[in-house]
Amino acid sequence: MDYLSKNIFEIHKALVNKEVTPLDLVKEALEKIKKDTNNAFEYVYEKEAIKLATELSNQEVEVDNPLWGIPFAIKDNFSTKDIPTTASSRLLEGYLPPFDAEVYTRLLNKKAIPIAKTTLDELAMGGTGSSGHLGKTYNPWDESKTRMVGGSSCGSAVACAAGIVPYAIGSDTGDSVRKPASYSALVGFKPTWGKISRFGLFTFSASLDHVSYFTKNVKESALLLNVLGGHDDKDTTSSSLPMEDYVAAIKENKEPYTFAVIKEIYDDLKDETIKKAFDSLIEELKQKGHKINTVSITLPIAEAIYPAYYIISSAEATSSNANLDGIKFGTYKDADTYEEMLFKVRTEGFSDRIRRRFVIGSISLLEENQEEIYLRALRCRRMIVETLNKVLESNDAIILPASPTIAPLFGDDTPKKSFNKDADISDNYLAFANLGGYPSITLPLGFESKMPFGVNITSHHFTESKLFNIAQVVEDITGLKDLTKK
Amino acid sequence: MKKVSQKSLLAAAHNLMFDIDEVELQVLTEEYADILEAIECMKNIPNIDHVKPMVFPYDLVTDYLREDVTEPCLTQEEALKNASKVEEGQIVIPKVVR
Repeated sequence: MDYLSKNIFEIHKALVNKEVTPLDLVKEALEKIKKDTNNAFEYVYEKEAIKLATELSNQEVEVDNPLWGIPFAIKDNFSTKDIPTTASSRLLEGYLPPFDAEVYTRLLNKKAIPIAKTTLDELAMGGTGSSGHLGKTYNPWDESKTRMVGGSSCGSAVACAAGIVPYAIGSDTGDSVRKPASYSALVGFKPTWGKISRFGLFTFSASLDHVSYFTKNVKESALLLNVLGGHDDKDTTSSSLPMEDYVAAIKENKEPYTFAVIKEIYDDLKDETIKKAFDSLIEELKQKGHKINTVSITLPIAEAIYPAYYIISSAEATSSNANLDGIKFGTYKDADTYEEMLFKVRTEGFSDRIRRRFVIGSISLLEENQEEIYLRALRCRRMIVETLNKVLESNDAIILPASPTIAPLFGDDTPKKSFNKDADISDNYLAFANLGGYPSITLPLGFESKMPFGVNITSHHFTESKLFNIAQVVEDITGLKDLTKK
Repeated sequence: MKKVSQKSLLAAAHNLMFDIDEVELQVLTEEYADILEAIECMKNIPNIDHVKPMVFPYDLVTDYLREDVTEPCLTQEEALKNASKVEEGQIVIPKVVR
């Protein structure tokens, strides 16, 4: 019986009804991991998961705790005590964190069962799912193994999309959960910045990083926020604003909502199938009484989202990864001098892509360039965010296709620029929710050539409750939920 | 916008304590030129140079202080567990002062 392709609530019901035990679920997950050919896993909790599941299988099911006894996967850039954690970088091979990330602790407290650490683009920098030390991660929906699942949370996307676990934790600094969700028919959610503690998440870019996750439907996404959200003293950017019961807040009879479609991003769409599916959704929303406003944020603002994101994230990444020297942890290299040793560790430890990104970040922070590059990007951030704040003050949410294409094909392996000035606006706009720290969710919207594509909805700060209600409206219209590629 | 020479890019890499080869340097040079072009485009945003830089997504309100009490921290054993060379409770690295 395939239980793990079901959603969390269905699996929980099966546990409560004693149709299945945590040990059965763990065995099913381990079997699926063994058979999986998408290159998604860094570490599999074989012995640990069986031990925990055996203990739980001898206990009463916690009927009010839907995560009890259910396996989950977590991206390998979260600290997990005494479990190898590499962030998919050669430099961190063999590293055993001495503490747990807060989100991991909260899941363990719910007696959820960690089953695997999932691979990622190195240090979570990248969107292809191909730059980590394990190489390419493949899209489960593409049997030809030529298409990416997207990144950087590629392994977590596979784990959920292939029905190996019902939910998987990732991180989202530019679109690293919400874009892969679009490519793999999943729900990908990132909360307001500050809503979920980042304690124990490897910092890529502190002002843009968010703990995020993949599920297969909106209600599951709300459930996970109930568990993972809320203040944490260990994260100085953690919000003290009160939590709600986000599952209970999803109402049957929903009020009419006002949606904004950003003209400059919509106009950039070229794929007719995606455009048509989005237009149909908009029509259905109108028919159900919701209001749609097409708004302009101006072309210069729309075009500035990606470069502002890239410069800020690179500058912050240079600084936040300066501690990776192989001395206290990570891969040490012997050498005659201290400098030689650092050069060896960092040259051999980082891929070329990461090194280039650090150089760009570093150059933008130099005194002679700071005003013209880094500070201009920060000024630009303010202009983008203030513009979006106005849009979100007069609309309940922004709605747009989450990606302008289905999952792209992998290119060849020659070094390529990570920053592409000719990149489409509609392919990189999702970073606006990181620049502004808005809650943002991607849902399945349709299929083209049997490959999925999604729709994204973004709302104002700390309006997760409303966002889940809006997302539920959209999910009810598309009927696309609980999808896995078997 | 001033251009940055390959020499400067290489120097920045060395300051970051790593090396980059010629192929990477070429890609980096092109990538950097693209970024400079994008930065130029940002000038098209009216008033861009007169707004305050935004570091965080919204104004952070930190309205709590933790109690000033001793909390558990890593033991020496835990702190040294991931270091590859340890002697007498200290991490060994190549000599810095010769």
